[in-house]
Amino acid sequence: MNLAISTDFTLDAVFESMASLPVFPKIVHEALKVLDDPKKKISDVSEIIKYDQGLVGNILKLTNSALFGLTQQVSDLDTALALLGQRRIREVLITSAALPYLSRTLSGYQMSPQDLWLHSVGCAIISEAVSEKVAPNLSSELYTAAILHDIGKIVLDIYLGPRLIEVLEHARIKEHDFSMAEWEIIGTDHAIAGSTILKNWDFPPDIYRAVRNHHDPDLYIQEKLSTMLALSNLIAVQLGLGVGADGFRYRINPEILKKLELSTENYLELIDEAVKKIDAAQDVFKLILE
Amino acid sequence: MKEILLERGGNIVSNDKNVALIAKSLGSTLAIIVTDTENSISGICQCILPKSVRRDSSLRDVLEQLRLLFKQMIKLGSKTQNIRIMLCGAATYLEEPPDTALGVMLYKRVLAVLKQSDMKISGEHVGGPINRSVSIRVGDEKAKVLLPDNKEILI
Repeated sequence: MNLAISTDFTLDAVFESMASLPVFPKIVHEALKVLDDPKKKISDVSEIIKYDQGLVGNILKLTNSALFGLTQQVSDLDTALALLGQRRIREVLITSAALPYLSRTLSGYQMSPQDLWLHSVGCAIISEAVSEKVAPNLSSELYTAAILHDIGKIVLDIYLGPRLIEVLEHARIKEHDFSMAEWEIIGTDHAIAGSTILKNWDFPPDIYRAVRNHHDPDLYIQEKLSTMLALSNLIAVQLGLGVGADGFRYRINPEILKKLELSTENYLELIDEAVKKIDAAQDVFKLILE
Repeated sequence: MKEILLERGGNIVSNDKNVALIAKSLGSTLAIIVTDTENSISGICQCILPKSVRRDSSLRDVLEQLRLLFKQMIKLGSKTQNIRIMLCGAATYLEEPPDTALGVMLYKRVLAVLKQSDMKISGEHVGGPINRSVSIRVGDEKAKVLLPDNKEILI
């Protein structure tokens, strides 16, 4: 994508340009559908994705990482899928497909490619700790929302990058939160942009709604998945995982822990568990350096 | 100059004057930096948990981190009265409830532990919506705080 396109800073131009973004790989969506179909087998997933060598390469790298915890190294797709199990296959597929999007510099948010990847994967890893503690039945949806929650930053950075410096200055001077400053300067925010992209990419409503809500304390508190995503993101920033210029410039709903029936003690346990999981996943963070 | 990067939740002390100790992207966690210019010994640790919450935790809480840091300083020949203490990190959101305000919890806990031992803080750059990194060259009096806009501040 070319920055030269970004001479039209109108909101319409941004949303129009979203349609021209590369689509989320269709074969990944197909593979996810097959995974959910009780009549299909794991080998059917392999049949769908095996011809996309880039995707298969990323799947194997991730499968062999400590994050996915296999006891043996695997070198072929069929073995990888057989050993991972359904939930892990879903996570590996989403993460592999997201990697090309999440390894970019976001100048307007002062994020290097490593920052964006570290923050997105870090948030996804933390989300596992959150779902284990709060609602294990939401783990897949939360993982997907967590890894893609900042996808809107990519579009805003490409098309409105120079104006994001103004957004940051505006947020600093007025002491407004970053989303409000995004609205005031460019008429949208990265959560809405991300939600729109995910909707265009045919992700389920609960996922794009959680992404839409993740910085809005009045909205995320209404829904469990959104609250869990907001909490995962909150912890990722507190732990300094790929923090952009906007990192701490948000307001946290005072009821966030209460909504999830967590105490302060539980919160610190979550942080403890999150650090453990993050330390175990160092090889995944290094993927984009390879 | 050799640079040693602190691991998450780690603890390093050195008496090698050719070494700089660095803690990056602290977020709401709190780095405690100690230095003894007379004996050219410096150390740094990153506090993530204000108090111990799990038996099987791999993280040391504030009290354990401080104990270990001072123990290592003294082991290398430092004297408690010579040690200068600096704090960096503990970033906070624009607004956050006390039950998730990790930076505030860590800062308060460190102050309480230091007060119990009659120790004073010589310099700090903490709080606010700022993600910081910090470094100290072994034996130097002051630590260098790196801000997101690449500005550097000595504490």
